[in-house]
Amino acid sequence: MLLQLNNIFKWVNSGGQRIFLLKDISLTVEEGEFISVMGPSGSGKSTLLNVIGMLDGFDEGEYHFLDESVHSIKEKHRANLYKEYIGFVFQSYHLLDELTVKENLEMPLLYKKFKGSERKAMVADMLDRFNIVGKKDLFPAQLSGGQQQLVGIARALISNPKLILADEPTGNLNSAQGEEIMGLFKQLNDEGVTIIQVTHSEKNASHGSRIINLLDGRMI
Amino acid sequence: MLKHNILLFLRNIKKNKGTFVINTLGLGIGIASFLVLSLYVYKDVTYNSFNENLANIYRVQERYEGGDGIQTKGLVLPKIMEEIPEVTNGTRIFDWDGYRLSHNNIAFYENIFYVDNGFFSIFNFPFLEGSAKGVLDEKYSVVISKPLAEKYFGTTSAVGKQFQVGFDDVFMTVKGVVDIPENSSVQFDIVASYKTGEELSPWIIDVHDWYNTFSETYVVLQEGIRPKNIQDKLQKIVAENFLPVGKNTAKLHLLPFADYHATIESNQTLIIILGLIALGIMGIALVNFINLSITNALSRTREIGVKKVHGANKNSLFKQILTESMLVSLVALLFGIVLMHFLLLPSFNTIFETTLIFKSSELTFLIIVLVSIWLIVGLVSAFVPFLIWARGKLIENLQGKVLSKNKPSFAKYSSIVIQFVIAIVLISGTFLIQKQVNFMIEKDPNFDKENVIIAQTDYWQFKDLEAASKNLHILSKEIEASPYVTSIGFTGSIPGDYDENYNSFYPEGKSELSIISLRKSYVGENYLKTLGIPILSGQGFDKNSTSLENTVVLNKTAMDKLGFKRAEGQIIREGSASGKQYKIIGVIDDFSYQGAQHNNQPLAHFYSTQNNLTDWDYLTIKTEKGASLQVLNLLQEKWKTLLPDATLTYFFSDNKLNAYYKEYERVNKLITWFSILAIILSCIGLFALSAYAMAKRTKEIGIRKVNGATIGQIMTLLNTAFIKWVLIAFLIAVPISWFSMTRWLEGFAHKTSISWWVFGVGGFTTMVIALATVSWQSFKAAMANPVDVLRDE
Repeated sequence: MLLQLNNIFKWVNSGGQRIFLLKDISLTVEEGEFISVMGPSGSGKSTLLNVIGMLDGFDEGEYHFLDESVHSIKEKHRANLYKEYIGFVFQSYHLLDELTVKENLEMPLLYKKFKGSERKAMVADMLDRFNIVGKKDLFPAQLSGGQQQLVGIARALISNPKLILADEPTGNLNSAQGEEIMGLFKQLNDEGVTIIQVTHSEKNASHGSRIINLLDGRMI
Repeated sequence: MLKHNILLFLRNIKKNKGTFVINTLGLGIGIASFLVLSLYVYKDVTYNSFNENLANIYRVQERYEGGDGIQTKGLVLPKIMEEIPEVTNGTRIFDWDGYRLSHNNIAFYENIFYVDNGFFSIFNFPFLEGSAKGVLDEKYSVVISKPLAEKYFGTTSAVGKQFQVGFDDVFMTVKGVVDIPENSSVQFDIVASYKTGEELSPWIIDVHDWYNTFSETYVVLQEGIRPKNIQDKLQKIVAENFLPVGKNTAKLHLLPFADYHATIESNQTLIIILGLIALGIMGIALVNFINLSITNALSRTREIGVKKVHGANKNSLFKQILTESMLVSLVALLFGIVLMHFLLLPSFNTIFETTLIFKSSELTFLIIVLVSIWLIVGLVSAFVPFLIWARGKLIENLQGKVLSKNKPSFAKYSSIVIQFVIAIVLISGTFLIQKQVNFMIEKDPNFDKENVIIAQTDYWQFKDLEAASKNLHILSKEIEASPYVTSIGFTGSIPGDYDENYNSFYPEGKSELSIISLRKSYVGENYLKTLGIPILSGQGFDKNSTSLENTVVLNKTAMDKLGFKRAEGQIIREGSASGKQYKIIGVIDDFSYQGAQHNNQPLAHFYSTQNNLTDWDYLTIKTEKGASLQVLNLLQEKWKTLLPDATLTYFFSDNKLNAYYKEYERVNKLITWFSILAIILSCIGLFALSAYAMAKRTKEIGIRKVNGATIGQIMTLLNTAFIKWVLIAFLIAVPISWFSMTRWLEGFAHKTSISWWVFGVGGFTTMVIALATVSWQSFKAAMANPVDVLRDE
């Protein structure tokens, strides 16, 4: 077991009313799974992903990640947990505009105190693996959307996470580019990386091993 | 990591060139003006401190009930040295003599100081050539200042060179050259011993008695002795020697030389004002810099979010922002130093005729100031954005959302309002000072300022005074004969150069109550007529009139004070009721004999004659209307043939008077500088704030545009929000500047009115500049494509 959610609730108070973003979510994810979260706009997909990624908190319930009880540990410890085990892929890529492809890949390693030579090797390895060596000195603005997302995924993978969380990774891409990214996810999953993605597209969801449907914050 | 941070910093600069330039420019200007002003204040505060024994040096003052004198009787110092053993050293400075000094073909009139032996051991002037020890022991030895050495000897060594005194066979030998610090109260060009002075000008011996006060006296007290310890001994000297012996109530006061500059010489108000301006400018520049840095940092929240997701902790974020703000402030600091060195300091020195410069000995002071500025700016402008970044929620960071909350607070706007108040006050002040200066220059001086030419006689230029006098006589006769000349006369005073010479006068047949103090001037025949000073009754000193001996002409103020209705026939006596008597023969209207900032004093013109015409200071010539050019040519031509060895110096009659207004022109220039500075800084502040506010309103602007608002309408909307604050600043500024203007004008006897346009121009200028600044931003904001700003995610 990689992670387990037990009866998770999350809400906001608005105009004296309690509005539930997540309602009674229970979910177990095993290592090596490829899960797609689906549902209409506002159904709580991104919120769920953020809770799993520990970027956002929740109000009730239990969350176990590996052997840790996320609901009862300190903020700082939690941050260390996601930094070590989770890689994020975003719909709008979130590459740093002022950094080149190579530097964007190197950025997470800087915060994990790798030595200069190690960083160089890991970046070179990643550039090679994703076949983007020729683009290493370009800035994000000089790349197509698909290429930017490729860099985004490479950056998420560079410190060998156990889990990749992808929030609509193909949302800003055309179908051919989207197909390519999904192929990549499938390949990564085959190599043993656990993936949870949020998607609108049935076709994308079909690449996964399991589909979770959300409506108004509930699993259906 | 450091490399990564610096790299990011450089790329960010490249991306936001405008912000970066404005930010460093603003802080740089602030730092530069702060440095210049603090240097000025520092020099003032450390006045005379080059004298190693400063704490024990005292200047001797004679204090009377009527007021304090700064000079003493010539015999005070020798007596003190003789009778008070606690006084270990002392010197007098006699500053009332001068000669034509020449070396080869170079000749000037120079003031000469005569001093006692202690002079160079009390004051530690750095010697460039020669040395202090026994330098003036030999008669006719002199020590000269660096500028004087350059004037006469250029770059060659001065020691051993000789000056010829006047045209006689007397020579002074240069024994040393000193570099007198700018902030020394004792400034001189040439100094010689008392022995030398007494031999050159024997009259000096006569004025060193127990009556005349011609000496500046300095003493050095033994270590540990305070003035109060020897006060009794000083008073004993007064009682035994001052005239009338035993009855003189003078107090000999020892003024610490360390306090001398602050109490006697310096304008402490100006120093305090400059100090406050320095701190104010630095403060404004700092606040603006920090505001702009925060705005800039906030626009990068997304970047911070991404970094946090990828493992950046607070520590590394702080390091990043610290690196950046330290680098920006370093650039600003360097820019400030360059600006100060190449532009501000030289301009300041030109305006104030100072030679302020950072000397290597003050390097420590400079470095401490610079490093503190650097640290304060760097740390504060790193810390505030860091707090915002660290606090922000990760999810909101990623959505670039931090901006959505908290509008610019009132505190932020108030800093802008204060800056604009300062700007408006300074600008209106500039206009008012200019108005007053113009008023004084244009004020009818009540003498003819257009058709009167004045030539200096400059007696010191002539070797043979008898011949010179004869030739001056011929010159005046020949010029007077010209059809272009109305009248001509010699005089000892001209407007702008009336001596500070006062005495009491006793009107004949009146009670003692109406004793009057008159300012005295000695003039020759036709002076009043030549200058065109209106005569109210009686007559001036007209040529060919009956005996003018012992006659005097008073001005209207004097007559009013005396209560005389008619002038003719009245007699006044000088000094006492039985003093020398003068007949009043005429009354002149009040005219500007000194700057319009002063009140008219009771003034007396005494008729006077000179056996030798070179004893007069000036020759005045009144020309026919519009004929001054012809007369000038004639004057030059005649001078050349009759007095070929002397240089002719001439000017128009209001020239010397207008020189009185230079000080105000100078202050005005300074204030103009600061108002420009204040405007620039306020605009930078406004720029930062508007950028911040606009960034928060992008969504609103987008929605308005989608719903049909035009660019013009949006700009109006955005600009009004800011112009409101400038208006508030204007409303606050008007009473403040009105109050300070009224106070300033109180210092003038003749003042201009405070017109409304003075404030109007100040407010309008500020408004236009502010509008331009904001419009640049609001135009950018209004032009933005709503599709870009309204897209979610």
